[in-house]
Amino acid sequence: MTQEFIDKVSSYLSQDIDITPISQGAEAIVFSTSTHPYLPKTRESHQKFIIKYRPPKRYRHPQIDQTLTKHRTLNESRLLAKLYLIPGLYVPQLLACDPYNGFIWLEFLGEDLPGGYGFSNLKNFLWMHDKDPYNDLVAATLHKVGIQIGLLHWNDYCHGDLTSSNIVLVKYGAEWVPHLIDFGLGSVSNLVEDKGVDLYVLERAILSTHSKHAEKYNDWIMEGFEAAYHEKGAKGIKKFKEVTKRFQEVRLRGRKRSMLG
Amino acid sequence: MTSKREMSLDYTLELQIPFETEGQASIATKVLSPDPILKPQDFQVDYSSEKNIMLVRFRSIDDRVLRVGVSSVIDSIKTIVETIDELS
Amino acid sequence: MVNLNTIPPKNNRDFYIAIGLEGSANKLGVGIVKHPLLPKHANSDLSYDCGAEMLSNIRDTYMTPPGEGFLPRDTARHHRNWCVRLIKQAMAEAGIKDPTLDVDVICFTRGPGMGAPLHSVVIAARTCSLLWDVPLVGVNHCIGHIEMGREITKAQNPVVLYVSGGNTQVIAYSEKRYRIFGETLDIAIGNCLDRFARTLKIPNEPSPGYNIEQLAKKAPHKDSLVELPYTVKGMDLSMSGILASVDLLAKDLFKCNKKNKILFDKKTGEQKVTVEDLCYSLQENLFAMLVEITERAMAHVNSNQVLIVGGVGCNVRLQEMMAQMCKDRANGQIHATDNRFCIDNGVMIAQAGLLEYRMGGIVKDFSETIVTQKFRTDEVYAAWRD
Repeated sequence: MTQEFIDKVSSYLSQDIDITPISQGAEAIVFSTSTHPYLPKTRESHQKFIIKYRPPKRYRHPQIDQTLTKHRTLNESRLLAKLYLIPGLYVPQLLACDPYNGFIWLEFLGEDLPGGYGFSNLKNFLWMHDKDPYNDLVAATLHKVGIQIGLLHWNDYCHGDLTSSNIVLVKYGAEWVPHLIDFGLGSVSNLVEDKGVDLYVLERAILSTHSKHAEKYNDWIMEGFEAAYHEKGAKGIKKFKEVTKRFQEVRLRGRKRSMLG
Repeated sequence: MTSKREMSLDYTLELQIPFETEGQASIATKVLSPDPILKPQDFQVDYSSEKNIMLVRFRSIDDRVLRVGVSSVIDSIKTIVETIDELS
Repeated sequence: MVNLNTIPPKNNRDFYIAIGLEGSANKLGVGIVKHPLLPKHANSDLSYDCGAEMLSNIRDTYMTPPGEGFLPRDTARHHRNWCVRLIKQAMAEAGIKDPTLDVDVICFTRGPGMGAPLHSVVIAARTCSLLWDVPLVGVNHCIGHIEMGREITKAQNPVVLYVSGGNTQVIAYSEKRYRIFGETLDIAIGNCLDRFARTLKIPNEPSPGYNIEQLAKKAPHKDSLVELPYTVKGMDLSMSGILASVDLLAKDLFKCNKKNKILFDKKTGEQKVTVEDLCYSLQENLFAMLVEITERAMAHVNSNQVLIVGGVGCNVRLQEMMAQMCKDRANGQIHATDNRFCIDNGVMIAQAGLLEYRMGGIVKDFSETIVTQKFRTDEVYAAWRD
């Protein structure tokens, strides 16, 4: 079935643009290409770019599908454009977008992990270190993940779908720098509620995907999150307290929620 | 905890329920005993059995709470008796 | 590798017999399951392939009039009135004459669910256990659904969408537990449908969700959906806002409130939307969200199998949408069960309880049989899985 989508993308892009499918996520199919959307091809074009395509979902009513695809593509593009300008926050650079057809072009981030562990997202990285989960590199990387989320929230943005798959690690020397991706469900929000839910969604994703070491992982992320807020002085400390208080409340709601609905 | 509150469980009732055998009375006691009371400061119940009689002692802060508690225990006893009658 | 034959069957039989008692909501179910004792189960990962035989599967549902939900007290009374009769009937159907010799284990639902109904059933379970000298196993209701679904469909390691009156969860197995990847942040899907059915005052028989499904099929304006909030948050979702919106629309429709431009034409005042349209739009919206979070979980754990369980899982439209999603994923497979197993029942409790029993997990003290309204799927240690 996926071949059908690949053909569709090829015909949309025209044959001059090379595409290699990388992954089929829940929402989008991701391709890599060596072609920039509008800059001329340079001779030594070893540069890679990402094409992210949200195919129509045939399972849902066309009206819902069109609304969602357009909204999410546009939303993701707008957010990326704004977030890219925030100092210290790392997201892929937006190159082009076509919300009606569900296409986004992005800068390529990440690489393949050594030892066949797959692409360098946080999920695969943590699985790679499963045998020695509490080493300094893991701790430092998760701390930096926390800083990224802290910065995002401090600037009044929410991600909406934080999981270890949606954090890409980019290697600079010996260091892995986390970049946040997939902002389709993201939002601009100054509500503590949205931030609390954001943190809760991430905590649960870590808990279910990396169960054995989840407690420590979540601690490190929250330490980084706190550090990002503390950096901002007294106002930051106050905000941090508000967000974490609501986070606890959201968590309690989830746990205590009656199974009776 | 023997606090002042527990002292005030003045509304009491004692039921003696005869079963056909000592074994049945003991089964009923074992079935009813484990469940915790929702508000122990308002209502307490003790189960014991002697020969073929099950003894149930209720203590409560007022007669309304007593009535509700007793009726719920009697409902459970009915299930036990029916189970013994029909399934042994 | 797991040894499912840790405890041999009673009386040198070459098979196990388990009775399951379910009463966590408005359905009272008694089921009897038989597992053959097979050498292949001694050292394998075959808990989805026990060769289970359902000897009986009896259910009685407590029905309330249109517009009314079921209250714990009345539901508990219903279960008390029927429990012993159902056990007797189930044993007769299964040909069990002497439970002391013929039954290996009595399984009951320990939670989650409504306290009073759960309690009324555990009283019967404890009494039977002492009368027959048969051990007890307490079962998590959600695990019951999952294990029954796996055994029926032979789905080895699926992402599970569990949708019922009280629960909405996306679950996947890892490291000895069924982990919750996504769930509702407020009300359950079945609860949402039931409450909307109450607003519409449509019958609760056979089930409110079923009646909404039938109305939705007859919607005259399927090509123009009524827009409702779409609230997916990562792999979680929220439904209370959707219920509030659609409830409001239904009330305006009944009151014939012509000011509502969604329902009535701006100029002519002509009605544009019917009750059937509301049911259709509600279903399309809610189910799209469910399928989306399921697909998210599948992508996250690299799985291509889905198993739908729980009462709402009977909904044909939901199954259809899920099947379409799977078709569009590489090697996607969908598994679903029918009414006998989707809707709460006793055999599923027997199936999950028997797996636990075969691993040596039995109740040692009645204090372990205290029922609990809140009992999360991931609290259970799934010893029978590898």
